[in-house]
Amino acid sequence: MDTILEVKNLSKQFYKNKKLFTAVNGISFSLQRGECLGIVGESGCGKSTTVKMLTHLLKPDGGDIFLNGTDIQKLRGTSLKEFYTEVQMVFQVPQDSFDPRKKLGVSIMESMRNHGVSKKEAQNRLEQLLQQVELPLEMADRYPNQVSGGQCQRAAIARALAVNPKILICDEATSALDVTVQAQIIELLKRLQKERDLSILLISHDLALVQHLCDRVIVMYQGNIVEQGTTERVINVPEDDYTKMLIEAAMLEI
Amino acid sequence: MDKKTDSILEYRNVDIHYGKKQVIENVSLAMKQGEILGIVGESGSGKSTLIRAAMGLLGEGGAVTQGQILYRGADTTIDMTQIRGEELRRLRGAEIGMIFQNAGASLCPIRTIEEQLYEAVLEHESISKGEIRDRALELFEQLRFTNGAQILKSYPFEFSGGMNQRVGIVLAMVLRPRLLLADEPTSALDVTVQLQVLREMKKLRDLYGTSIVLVTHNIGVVNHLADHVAVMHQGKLVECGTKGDVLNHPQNAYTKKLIGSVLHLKRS
Repeated sequence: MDTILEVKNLSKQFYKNKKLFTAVNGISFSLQRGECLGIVGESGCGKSTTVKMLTHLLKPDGGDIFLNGTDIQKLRGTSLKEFYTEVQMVFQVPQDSFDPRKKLGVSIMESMRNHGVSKKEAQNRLEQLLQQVELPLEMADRYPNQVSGGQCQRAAIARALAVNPKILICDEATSALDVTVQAQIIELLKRLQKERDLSILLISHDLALVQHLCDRVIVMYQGNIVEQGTTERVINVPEDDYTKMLIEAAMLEI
Repeated sequence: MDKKTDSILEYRNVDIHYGKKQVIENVSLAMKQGEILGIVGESGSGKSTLIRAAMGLLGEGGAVTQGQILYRGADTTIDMTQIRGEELRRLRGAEIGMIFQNAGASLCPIRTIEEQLYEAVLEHESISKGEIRDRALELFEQLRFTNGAQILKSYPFEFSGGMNQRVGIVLAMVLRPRLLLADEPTSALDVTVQLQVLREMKKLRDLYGTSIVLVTHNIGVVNHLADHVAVMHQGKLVECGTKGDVLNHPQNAYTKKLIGSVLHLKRS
C-alpha cells in the first residue's frame, strides 16, 4: 500500500458577518492507493470545504496537499491540467455533473477531447465506458433531464472515469437516489474500484454506507478530525464522544 | 389492518388524479388511535400524495377522484376529501398537526415564530400562552436549539433550512394533536438531530396518545418508530402489516427488493 494523497495540517478560514470563521482547522490524513476512505460529518463540519481544496477549487490558508508526492498548490499550466485528470468528482445531484443543454454522450466525451483525445478514440472510449457503467448506448443521445436519477449518476461516473483518474471523490453521491438505486450504484462503484484500482474518497453522512464501502474512515466535527481509523474499529470501538453520538444516531435506537 | 370504528384515520378505496394522470390507485388503509404508521416508498410511489390528501392539501389540479379519507375526530367523523377552508383551519393545530417536507416554506416569513405559535393556540382556548411558550421552549431544547427564547423572537428568514424544519416540527407538536401527519419530517436534518426529532415523536405518542402517520423513504426510521408499515409502489399499496411482518417477512416482490437494498450499521 502506498500513499497517493497526503494532506498535512490543512486549514481554511472564511469571513462570516465580519467575523473570522474557521471552516477547516489544520487537518491531516492520507489516502492509500486502491483504498476507499470515508469522510463523515454533519453540516458545518468542513468536509465540503476540504473537498474543494483537494480538487483545487479553493486555495488553502495553511497546510499542504500532496498527490503522489507532488505539492498540488505549486501546480501551474500543463501540470495543473493533468492534475484535473488525476482527481475526479461525482456529486450528490447527478444532474450537477452535466451541462443541461448538452447530450450525455457529448459531456462524457468533452473531457477526453479537452485532453487531446481524437474524436474517433473518444467515441470508442465512450462506448466502453457506457458498458462499464451498465448504461445502454442510446443513453449517449439523451439529455440529463430525460433520464432517471440512477441513470444520470451512472453517466456522471462514466464522465468522471473518462480521463482515467487515480482518485474518485464521491460527495454524497448516492444520497439523492432511491434506496434500490443506491444499492445498484454502490455495487457499481465497488466493481469499478477493483477493476481500475481506483482510490476513492467517499464523503457521506450515512455511516452504514461508509461501513459497507470504506476501509478507513475520518470523522469531522466543526473543522477538526475528531477520530480516524479502520471502519470496523471506529464503528465498534469509537473513542471520541461525537463519534459515539453519530453512531447512536445511525443505530436509531429511538 | 383494523377497519373497525376505533380507527382514527381510514382510507377507503382512494383514487387520486392530477389532471388526467392517476397517481394513487385504490388504496385502502386504516390506523388505530395511538398507533404509529409508517408509509414507505421510493420516488413516484405516491406516498407524499397520499398523506397530503389526508391533510386536505393536494394542490393545483390534484383531486381524490374516488373513495374517502375518514378522520375520526374527538366529536365527529370527517371526510378529509370534502373538507374546505374554515373547517380545515379549525382542525389544524390542536386536532391534526402537520409537518411538511419543506417546513420552512409553510412558515409565514413576516411574522416572528412566537406570533405564529400563538396563532395556532388562539383556536384552542384551554391552553394559556404561557404554557404553550414553556412547551415550545422545552421542545426547542430537546431538538438542540441553544437559545429557544431567541428563536421565538426571530423570523423564519433568519434561519437555515434545517433550523426552519425543526421550527416547523416544534410548531406541529407543541399542541399535542390527536393526529400528527408528517411528510419526510427529518430528511433535511443532520442524523443526530433526526434522532432527537424521532424521540420526541415517540414521546408524543407514549405520553399523550398522539397517533402518527410518518411518510419516509428511510426504512431505518420506520423500523425503529412504527407499529405498522404500508409500502407504496407506483401509486399502489403493495404491502401492509405490522412492522415485524413487513420488514422481516415481506411477501411482495417489490417490498423484498426494497428491504434488501437497505444498508444496516452492524456493530459487534
